[in-house]
Amino acid sequence: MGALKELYKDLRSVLAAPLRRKAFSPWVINMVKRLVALSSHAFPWRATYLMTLKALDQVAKAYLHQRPVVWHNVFFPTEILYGLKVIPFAPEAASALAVGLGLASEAFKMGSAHWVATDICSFHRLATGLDLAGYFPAPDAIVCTSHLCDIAPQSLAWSSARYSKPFYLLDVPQGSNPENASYVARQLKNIFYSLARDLGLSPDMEALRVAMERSNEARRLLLEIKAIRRQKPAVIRGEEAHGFLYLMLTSWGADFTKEVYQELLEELETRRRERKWAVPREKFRLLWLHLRPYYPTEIFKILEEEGGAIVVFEEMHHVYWEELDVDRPFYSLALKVLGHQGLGLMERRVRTILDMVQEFNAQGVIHFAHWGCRQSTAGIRLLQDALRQENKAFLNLDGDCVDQEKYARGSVRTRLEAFLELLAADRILP
Amino acid sequence: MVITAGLDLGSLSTKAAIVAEGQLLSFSILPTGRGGLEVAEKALEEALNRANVKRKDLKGIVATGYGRVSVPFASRRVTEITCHARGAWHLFPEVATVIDIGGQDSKVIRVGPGGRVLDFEMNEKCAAGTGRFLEVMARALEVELGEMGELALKARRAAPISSTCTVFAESEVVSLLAEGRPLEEILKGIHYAVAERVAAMAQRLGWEKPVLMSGGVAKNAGVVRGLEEKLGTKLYIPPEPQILGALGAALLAAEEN
Repeated sequence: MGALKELYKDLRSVLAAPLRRKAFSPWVINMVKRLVALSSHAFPWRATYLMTLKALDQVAKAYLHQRPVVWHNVFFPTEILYGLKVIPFAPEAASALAVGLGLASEAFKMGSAHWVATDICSFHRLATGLDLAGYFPAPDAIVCTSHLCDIAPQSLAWSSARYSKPFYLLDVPQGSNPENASYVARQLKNIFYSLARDLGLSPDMEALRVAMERSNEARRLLLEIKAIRRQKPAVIRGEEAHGFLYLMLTSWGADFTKEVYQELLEELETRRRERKWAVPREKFRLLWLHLRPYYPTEIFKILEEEGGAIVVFEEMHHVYWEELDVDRPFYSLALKVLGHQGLGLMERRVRTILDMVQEFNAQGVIHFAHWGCRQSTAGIRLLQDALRQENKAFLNLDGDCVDQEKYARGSVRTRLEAFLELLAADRILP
Repeated sequence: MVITAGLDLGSLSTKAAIVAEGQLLSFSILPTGRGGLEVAEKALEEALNRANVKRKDLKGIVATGYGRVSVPFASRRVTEITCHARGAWHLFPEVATVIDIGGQDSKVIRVGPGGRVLDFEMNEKCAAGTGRFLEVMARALEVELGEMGELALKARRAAPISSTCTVFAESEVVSLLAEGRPLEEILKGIHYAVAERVAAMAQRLGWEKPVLMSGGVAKNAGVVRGLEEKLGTKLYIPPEPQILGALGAALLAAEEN
């Protein structure tokens, strides 16, 4: 991890001036790519290194506007965008990256000077600020779903107004049934064709088919990865596995997604064979809900290194949809969208989490209560009660994924250590 | 005889407890200030002197509280959650819930047999619901902190304090004074505000009785009465509610031996 921090430092220094001038020439981008390419040793997994290079490529293409750039929220089915061969850009994901590049503070100030409320999700607060500060590649269109996140539609609609670019909202109803699936499918088809028209592209159903096949292949690989991660002891630490959520949230339908998953799968299999465990002694297995802070913290050091409590799986990595039917692209994508466990009644999410806890043999669950994320935090009491009934420990850890000012080191350490002490005492509420 | 010590390094006060064979021999409480390790050493020495025990006779020292990481001579560091639960169980074996309200934070802990922590909830981000809230109000009302609780008990009604923020609540209190509301009613309202905040935390956790209250604010009869009314149960207050963490730490040190 130390080498990765050094890489971020180097990236910050290379990018400082270009970022300030908002000048991303091919020269700068090649410099960054070369820097990352030379730093393979900084990455604990070759798959992470590969993912970083691929993501960098895509981001570079967006900044250089090699093809139309379409912004999207992280719940939009990106198969549609890869099917149109546009360049997807996710402001929320970019926010996470921006934290590592040291841009957050400036962006937050920019946001607050433009009436961006401080009690909304900071991913969006930061994304808005970054955009207002001129750090994002201009969109040619913007797509967004109405689920799960209540601020994404408002935030992206504002962006579309500022750029005077088309905005498409995918209205997602709360229940998964044939009627709702048809409704969502019709919208997806409309978005596909409307985007093609507005961006001057030919809607290519064959390209969409290819994107969906890639998505299916990546899905199969991710399920194999999940199967390895179920085994004890763990071979990958939660902090490391978390980085791959980038693909989960932005890259379904991309050719590189299956490449990265394939690489990760092979590495996991190798480490299992060679008995290279994630930590010397695995004492507890934990499930992690929501995302994690993207600025340096001690959270995983305390849990995994000091406490031997491995985050064996993340809820965000849950494959909540069936294999896509490439002959019915819009309908099967609609089923995918409606299949998310966070959509609809809380009981659905609770059941999914309980299943995961059992599947991974987890002793406890940590929910990172990201500031402003109502969709995740509002129903936590139901989850807490359900976990108590199963004799599983639960920690609701207040924090913020991207705003470092909200991180209270001593407080977080006390909570995590107390949670570890509770696990060690092996007495959970009846 | 196994003699151990517990050190609780809080943000406002540092406490030391000396325990032998499950019995509290002595304790000390000193303001933390900027002292940190220095104050911890002093608190320990004071407690040792009172117990007539030498440092070399200690079989173990457990440090707890926010400052626990800065005690190099501790044999172990344990969070105040675990220490409070252990200390509470020692004093009151039937205890099911501990409510601790300190100068700058508050916590609610569900306790199981043997003093094990079953679950917990903490608040240290917001002054409301902590001793700090009472300090700010005492200054605003020009009342001695130690007298607030008893004065509050004299009122029949409580002036409602609607603000959850300490700063806004202070403004509210000033307005109530200007309106001519009796001091005792305002004080009762202030104490109820603290009790409501902490009771809400206890409800979130799913508290059960019997309940033990600890921390400096446990000496405030107004908050105690407010909490008892909100929760509908009598609170058990130990003779020295501030040292529960240090006591629990010392007992845990003894268990290691």
